Amino acid sequence: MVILFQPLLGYAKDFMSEVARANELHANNNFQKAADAYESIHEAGLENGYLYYNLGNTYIRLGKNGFAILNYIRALKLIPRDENLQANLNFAIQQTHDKIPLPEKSTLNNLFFWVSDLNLSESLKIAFLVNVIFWSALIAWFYFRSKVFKLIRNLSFYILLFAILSVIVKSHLETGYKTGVVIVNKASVKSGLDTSNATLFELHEGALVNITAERENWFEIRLNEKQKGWVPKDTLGS
Amino acid sequence: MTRSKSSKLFLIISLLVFILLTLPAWGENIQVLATVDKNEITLEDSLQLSITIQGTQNTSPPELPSLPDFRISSSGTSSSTQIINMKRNISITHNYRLTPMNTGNFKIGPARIRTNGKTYVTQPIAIEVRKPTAPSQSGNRSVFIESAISKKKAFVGEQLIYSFKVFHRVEVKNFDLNMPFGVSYFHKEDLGKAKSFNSVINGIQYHVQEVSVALFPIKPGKAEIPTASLEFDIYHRAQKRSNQGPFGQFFNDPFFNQSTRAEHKILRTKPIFLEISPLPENGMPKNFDNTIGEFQMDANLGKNNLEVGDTTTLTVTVSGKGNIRGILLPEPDLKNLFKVYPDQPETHQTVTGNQIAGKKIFKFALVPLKPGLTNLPIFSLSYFDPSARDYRQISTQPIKISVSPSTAKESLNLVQSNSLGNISTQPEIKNLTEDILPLHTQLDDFQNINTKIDTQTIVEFISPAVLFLISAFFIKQKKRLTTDVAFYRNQKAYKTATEKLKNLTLSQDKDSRSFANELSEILREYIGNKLNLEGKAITATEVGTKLKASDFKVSQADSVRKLLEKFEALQFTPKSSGNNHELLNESQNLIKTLEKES
Repeated sequence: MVILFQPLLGYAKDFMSEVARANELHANNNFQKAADAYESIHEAGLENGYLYYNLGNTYIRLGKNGFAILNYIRALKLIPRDENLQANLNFAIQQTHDKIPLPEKSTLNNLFFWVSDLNLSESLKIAFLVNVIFWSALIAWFYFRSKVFKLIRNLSFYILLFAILSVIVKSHLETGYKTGVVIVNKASVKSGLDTSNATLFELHEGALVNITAERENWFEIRLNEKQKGWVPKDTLGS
Repeated sequence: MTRSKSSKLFLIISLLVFILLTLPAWGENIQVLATVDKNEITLEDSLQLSITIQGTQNTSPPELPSLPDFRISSSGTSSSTQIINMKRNISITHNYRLTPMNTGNFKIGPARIRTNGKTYVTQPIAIEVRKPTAPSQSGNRSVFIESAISKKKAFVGEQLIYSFKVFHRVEVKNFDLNMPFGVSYFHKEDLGKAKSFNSVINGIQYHVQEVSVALFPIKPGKAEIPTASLEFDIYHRAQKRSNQGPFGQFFNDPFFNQSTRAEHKILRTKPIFLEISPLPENGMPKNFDNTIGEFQMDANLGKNNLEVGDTTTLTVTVSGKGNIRGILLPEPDLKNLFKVYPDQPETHQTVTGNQIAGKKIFKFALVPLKPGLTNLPIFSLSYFDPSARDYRQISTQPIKISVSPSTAKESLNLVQSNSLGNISTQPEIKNLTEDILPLHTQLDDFQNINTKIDTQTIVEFISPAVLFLISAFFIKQKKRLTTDVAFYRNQKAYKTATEKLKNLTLSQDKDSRSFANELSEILREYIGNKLNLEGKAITATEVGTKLKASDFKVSQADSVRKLLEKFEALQFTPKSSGNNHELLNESQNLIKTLEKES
């Protein structure tokens, strides 16, 4: 049973004291040290939406809009329903030179609209729960052969299929569509994989782009149907 | 038979073609080539640069050279596969549209293609960009553009109409208009959607599309409206007369007409220079607030006779031509006579005859505090009339209002009187500044979150299914035990036998005759349970035969038979208590062996 419910229990490592210390540094306007503290917590292994959110806030205070937006976008994958995050992300985008909004949702995303409001972990937990209900109902039906268990078995089977499909779609959306953020003051978008190539257009710190390919030390990025090109990897965060 | 052979032949040919198409080109002899569709163009044209890579289709896009005098846009890729004399040739072509920005002689430098660790370069191409030839008159051209401003000398804040027209008498599509207006010199207001009409110039009919905006100069001095440019595609179609059947008109559509050719063009207007004068200082009224145009003003009151505590609405309407949105009126000064609740002004702006006109309505809810006859203060507005080049002042007519004492007994709570019919008295809350929302400090929320699907996740997901399979096995066993007698006896045989043997162990001092008899019964009962037979009644020979007939080994069947015969022989020997222990061990070992084999 421990194995079955382990995903629902989370991990044991406790980062609370480190987070409290970083929050205090931020509260005392010691933003650079606060940012370093949050980054070290992340490097120590904490993957958490609120950590990215606090890091985004700290970078805003440091005037680094690119890193702020990058961390807000990372947070958005983990805490998609957080209203403060949405507000701060919009605020940060408005502070940028290019003011490029978040990419529009894909057809698949519109079709499976509910996956946008759940993170992958929540989608998995729902699927795990329905999975346990289904197999338990199947065992119960196998033993008792009653109509009630048959109904629960059939219902939970369809819900399970739906939940698995949602997990697959969520996973595909997170890995298939990669958003990048310009983290330098100005990024020249080139026609090829060399700085001597023609500059097609320029982007500024905090600009949001879709990363469509990756080669050597370059990312292929796309703004819209017409504008695409290559930028060095160290100019983008993803 | 013949049909079968031809099918096989077709299959082999198909397979060969498929292999030829899927294998990489033999030799991988890669060549790159850059071509343009024309070397000499005007500023109104664009040229197509095609970079063809022969010998492979798996390369990264070409790296174009720096071309500051051209605007580059991708116009797609095309790939080709040919098999000639069993030799396969593949190529991919990347197409770009280059739009010139300046005249002169230019060189398109070498483009680079990197593939398989090698770099290939194309040859440079010389291009000449000339000024477009000026037509003798506009009527000779199939497409031309015009831009115009309503006045070239204007005052700061005066409304000007900047219009852009495209005239065409051929099929033109994909318009892309870039119409800058000089953001540092003017404030802009849109004048609605583009208008479309026909116009006859020198006897030639043109389709005209016109876009207009209203511009308001924001500072005096020389001002410039920059060049506007329009990109579009002209469709040239061959006059085929072959589709004259009943569906001729339908198939004459560009969708079916294969001879349609698109020519990309870019046209530019000349910049327009204006002279903006400051508003005259002489005669400028004190209450002048940069209102420019031609306006009228009117005021009316909802009720002229009312009681203390009643509500009435004072409506002031300013209408006319000009920057009406910017007009502001002060709150009427009624001191302690009335409580005044100003409403948000409403602006209704319309475009008539390429002029922005409209009206702005100011509403004030008035609640009298004292009885008596009062003259409401008049509202005045000063504005500059550009056509008369002078300042004007307009005012509302005086309005009298008679307030009688209240007939209601209870006193009114005027502070809370915010429900005045359709008049909203709630003041607009303005944001003083914007800032981010605070840190998240709920420490319990800082838990690690699983962000990927790994092997452990999959194992955990599958584990309930495994649990089900194990449970199902035991449930099935349990159910079979209740319904299948043979299965039940088979499953319980060993347990029953070992229990009985255990009981017999306690009475090893019995005489050998009865001990052998009991052992014989236990063994035959075990065999009977295993084979679903009435064990106690069968003989040693029958047991041997039955065991051989089932899955047991011949040697084991013989061992059982011999042991049972030994027990039978002991029945007829004199009583003794010597070898009971050996017999018991022998029986136990034999049953264990049989159980393992079953």
